[in-house]
Amino acid sequence: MSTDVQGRADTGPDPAGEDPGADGAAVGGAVADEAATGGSAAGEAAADEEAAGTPGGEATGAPQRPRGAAWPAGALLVVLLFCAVSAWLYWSAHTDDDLAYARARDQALAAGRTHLATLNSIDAKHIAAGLREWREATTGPLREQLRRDENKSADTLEERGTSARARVTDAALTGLDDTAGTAELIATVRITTTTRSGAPAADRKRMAAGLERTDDGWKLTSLAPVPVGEERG
Amino acid sequence: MRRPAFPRTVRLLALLGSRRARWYVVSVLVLALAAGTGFLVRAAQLTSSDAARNAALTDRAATSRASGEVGDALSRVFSYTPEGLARTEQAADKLLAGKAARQYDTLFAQVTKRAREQKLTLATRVVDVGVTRLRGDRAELLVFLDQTTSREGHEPTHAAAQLSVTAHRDHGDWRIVAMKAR
Repeated sequence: MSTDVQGRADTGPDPAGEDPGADGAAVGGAVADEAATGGSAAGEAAADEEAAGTPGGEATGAPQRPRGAAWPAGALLVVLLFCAVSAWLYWSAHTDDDLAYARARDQALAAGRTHLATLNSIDAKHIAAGLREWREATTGPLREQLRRDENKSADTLEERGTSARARVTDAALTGLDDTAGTAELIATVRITTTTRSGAPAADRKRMAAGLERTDDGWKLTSLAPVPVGEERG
Repeated sequence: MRRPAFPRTVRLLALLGSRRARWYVVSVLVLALAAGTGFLVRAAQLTSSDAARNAALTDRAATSRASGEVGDALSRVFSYTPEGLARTEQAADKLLAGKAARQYDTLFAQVTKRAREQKLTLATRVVDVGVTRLRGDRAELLVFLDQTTSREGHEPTHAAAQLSVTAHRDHGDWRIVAMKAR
């Protein structure tokens, strides 16, 4: 197959008029072909002509070959090759470790930002729903802790009647282990609290959090404010 | 090797020559072309995405160098003693540039007066640094600082400071070009 294509490539650029015999055969071939198919598009006929010129290149001793078949074979080969090369490029990009690591980093950071805002927010009117959201944003030890304290937290929040809305103003990953599926994150949070009496107050906090990859995306495993005057590991 | 393979090739070509086969060939061509283009576009998206170009954490050496230098710069420009004010200002000249340098100059003019009068000492320590983006000569970081202010005859006071920092690499060294308190 490849030798045929080679032959075609060799004879292809030759001007049609150089070998009158081959040219005649080509025209005949095209006409015959057209008759057989009941007339085809002009482009196709032209392509047939070009392809039919092929046998001229290796006519000596070679068995007679059907005309008008080399071009689809060649085009097919070229396009399949193109498809294979781009598939390989895609696959190597998809499985590239650095790229996968970068993707994990961005996913962990995005999830961390969202969950951090969730865990620092509560709507006094929908405390049960808020606590459920807290639990859904976490996994491992933090989730356990939240589950243990849920009733107590609900009571306290109910009693206080304060709503809080948190916005993560900046966040960065300080560590990421892609294979273990763990990450550490630091973030600054701006929390607006509204008491029952109505006066809102804004507070800024800096926090450190741990993340773990679960089947449901990255979740928080720890969350703590970073106090002043304390060395962190 | 070529001769025994030839009749088979002929049969294959004969098959391809028929009209019905040509339709198959054309469909396969179109499909393969579409799939190939799709793969190529997806590959380009993957390799040139924002995530791919951000070297924060993926390039460990560059990340730790940027966070180390920026953290170091911050602790130097935000630390002074009543006697060593000139030294701090010199360090700031070297480590800050652009908008950050202008902001700092305004701030430092006020600080100088108070520091001399009240014998103030400020010590700044980096608690944590995270690099959010690192692309070529530009980096964005989040830095947690602890600041201790000492006044002669008073107990030192501690305060937390958080800065979003933009840094630019100049001749291999990172300089802070913008700061925003968080």
